[in-house]
Amino acid sequence: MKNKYFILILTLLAFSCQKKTIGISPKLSIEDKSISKINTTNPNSDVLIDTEDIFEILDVIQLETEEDFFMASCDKVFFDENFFVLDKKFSNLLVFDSNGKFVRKIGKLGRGPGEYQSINDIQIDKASKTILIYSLEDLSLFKYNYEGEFIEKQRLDFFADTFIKTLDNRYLFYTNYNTSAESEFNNLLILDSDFRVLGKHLSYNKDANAAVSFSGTFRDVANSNDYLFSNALSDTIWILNNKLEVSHAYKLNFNGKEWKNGFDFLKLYQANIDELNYISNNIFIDHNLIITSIMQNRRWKNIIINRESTNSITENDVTQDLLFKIIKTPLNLEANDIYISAISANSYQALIRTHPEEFMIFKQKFPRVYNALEQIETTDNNPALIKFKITIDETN
Amino acid sequence: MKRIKLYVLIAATLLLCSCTKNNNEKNLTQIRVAPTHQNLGRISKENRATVDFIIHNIGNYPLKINEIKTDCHCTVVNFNKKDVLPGDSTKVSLEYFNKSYTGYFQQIANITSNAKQSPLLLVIRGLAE
Repeated sequence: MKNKYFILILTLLAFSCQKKTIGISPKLSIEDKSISKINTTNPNSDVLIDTEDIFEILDVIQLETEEDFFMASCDKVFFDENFFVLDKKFSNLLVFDSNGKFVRKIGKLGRGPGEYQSINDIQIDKASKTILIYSLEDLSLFKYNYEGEFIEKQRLDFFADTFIKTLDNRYLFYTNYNTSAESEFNNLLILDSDFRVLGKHLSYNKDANAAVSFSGTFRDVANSNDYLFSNALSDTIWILNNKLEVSHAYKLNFNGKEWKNGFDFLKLYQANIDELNYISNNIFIDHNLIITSIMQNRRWKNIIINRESTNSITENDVTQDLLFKIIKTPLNLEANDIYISAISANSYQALIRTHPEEFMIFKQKFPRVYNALEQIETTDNNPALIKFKITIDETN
Repeated sequence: MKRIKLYVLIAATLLLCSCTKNNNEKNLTQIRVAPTHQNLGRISKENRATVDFIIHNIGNYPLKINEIKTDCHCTVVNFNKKDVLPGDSTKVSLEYFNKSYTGYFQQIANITSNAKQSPLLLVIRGLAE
């Protein structure tokens, strides 16, 4: 009898000694100490930081195409002597020189060789000077050289949302809750260079329902072998190492107003919209910073997080001159710590309409940037790329 | 004997399926639409603006339009669902109406069909005031 109590106490003691962990899927968990908690709710200081002290705009490049051919948006940008720009709305992958002059289009919509039914994601492989286009409609990956010549098409037997080609030539496909025989109930499918499935990762519950327009994200951390992962409607960004083990997480504090119901979308449609605070799926991370936007109090707000100090700067912390709103989340990081962002004519004009006073300040404070954006101020011209540097010190 | 019949039946079914697939691939036609982009110019946000695109079947098989999807509820598509014979043409109308938006707009209609040029994007743009 005494032995029974002894075993029970011992068991309870053993459980109480375990470190507290949280999980993003049955396979992944992380100790509390590896989570950085980020304040998002209030301005961090009484004095507003001048956007000039954070952003140094190096160049604004207006993308120029021929007369009867134009763009809607810039959804992804790569740079390797030329800019490779994805316009998802018009299903175009376009190449521009470093001055923004149109060079060529890669592939086209259609059913012929080298033609795709859609473009869902792109990657460039600088080592082999090739371009990869993932088409969900074709369930295929198309490969072209930088000159736009079609090389090959690889059929894939699963649905995916985005993909990454890693430095060690693996392919990581983020399925975004699209179940298939290959991926089963896993959000990440790992393929070797011959497209054989090496593994499945980031498992999810079978009752998860992705039949909504929300999407999580899986992408690489710039200039590293790490990856970032965030669920749709989540308050947490997970950092995974090259072995796909969680090494760190950043949990944004929404003062209890974060979405707590995961993929229970019935609750989502009945939810009080004020309780619906989350990180967007447009997240950029490098060694130093996390830059993204958050849905908070019914509006999107840009945020920069210093990874080392975990201090954050939101739009509430900076001078109201529209610059942070124009820059938003970068799309890429070039050599010498130069970020590339993009703004479309529609977005710029919407900012001007909704923030007229901030626009006037922007016009006076940044005449060079304002002049460079003149072509998208009042016309429906192509988007412009913005090259800039960011300075964030420990006190920010 | 029964087993042989079964094998023959399976082989015939497989043959039929493969033929059907080949026929589908062969039945692709060709289309011509010029222009695929139209500018509606300045429009009042209170009014509906309609623009027509003419699709010519310049191939050798009847054109079957499977679906036309737009990316915004502000753009409504009207088209004749009948097959378009080789040499004939059909009209696809896009109607833009968005009472709550002013500014430049760009909307697309994505046409999937048995044409080699499928999917085909039709683009309308303009300035709503």
